[in-house]
Amino acid sequence: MRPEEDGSEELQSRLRAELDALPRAPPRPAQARYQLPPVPSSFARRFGPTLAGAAAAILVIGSAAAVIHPSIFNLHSAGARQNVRPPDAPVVPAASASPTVSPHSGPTQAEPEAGSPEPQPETSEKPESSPEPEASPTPSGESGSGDSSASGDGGSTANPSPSPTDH
Amino acid sequence: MADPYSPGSSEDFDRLYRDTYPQLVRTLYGVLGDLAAAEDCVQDAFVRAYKAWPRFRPERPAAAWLHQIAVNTAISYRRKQRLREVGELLKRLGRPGAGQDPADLAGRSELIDALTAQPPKRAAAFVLRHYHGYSNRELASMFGVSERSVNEWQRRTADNLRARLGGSPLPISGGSRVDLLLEQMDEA
Repeated sequence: MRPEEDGSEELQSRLRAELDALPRAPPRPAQARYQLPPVPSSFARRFGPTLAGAAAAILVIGSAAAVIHPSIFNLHSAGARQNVRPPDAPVVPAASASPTVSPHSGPTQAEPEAGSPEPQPETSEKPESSPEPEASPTPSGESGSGDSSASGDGGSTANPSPSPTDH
Repeated sequence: MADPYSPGSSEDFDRLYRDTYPQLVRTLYGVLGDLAAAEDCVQDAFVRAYKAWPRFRPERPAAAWLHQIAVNTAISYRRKQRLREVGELLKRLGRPGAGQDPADLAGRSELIDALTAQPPKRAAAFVLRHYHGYSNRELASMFGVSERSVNEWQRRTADNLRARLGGSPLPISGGSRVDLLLEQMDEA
């Protein structure tokens, strides 16, 4: 059915006159938008620079904070070091460090151990892993097994070496 | 009859671009009322069509396929334009704006003004029928609606245009013999 049959000839003629007045020559295909490379989405174009700037600012502020306040990181790492002990590290009691390390050693060797805040009673429970009791000149209780009651150390049944409280 | 277009061929797409660009600009000018906006939307439509060109089915008319893409592009443009207007109104906190540019209004006729006031699909259907010569059946296939809906669109658009332009209403509602039979069935 042709458009002229429905009676709207007047509107049709006016519409034709309006639209025929528009330029007819199209742009060259080489200048068409579909020939161009794709552009980023409107979101990337609108918010990309802002997000990049915010990320750079966070990086700079974080680096500055790390430089200005390195103690924050040191505290954390120090706390971590205190709680971590190698499994095969020698256990040296802090209170009995000077007489038991060696008969010829002075108190200097025991000072780092004496300043340690870690609980020393734990060391008394592991006599067999400590080499010092083996080097002790005391004749009795060196093996630490079954002879703990004959040693001078009444308080510690597992440590055969004489304690500083004995003298 | 023009040579058929081969899907995926860049040369055929360039030929399709030269053949259909003026038609699409005229259609979208009737929908948007702004020549620059119409050309911008037509360029976007060709970008979309170029991406879908390898999947184009040659048995359907290429011009109708492009018109479908172009009308959808114009609908999106008008929707975004409405949102922009609302945003600007909120920015002004309800204060009256500067109004439209008088230079833009001077170049537009009353008919185009009245046409752009219609819903975009109806305006496009009106231009496609009364300028490009598409039938209501073809328009129904293009827009994915029933032919009766297209007939209703054409009738309401024509009535609205006449009311705005100050003309008398049509004695016979638009449509083919089948459309008239359908209307009589509805009234029965």
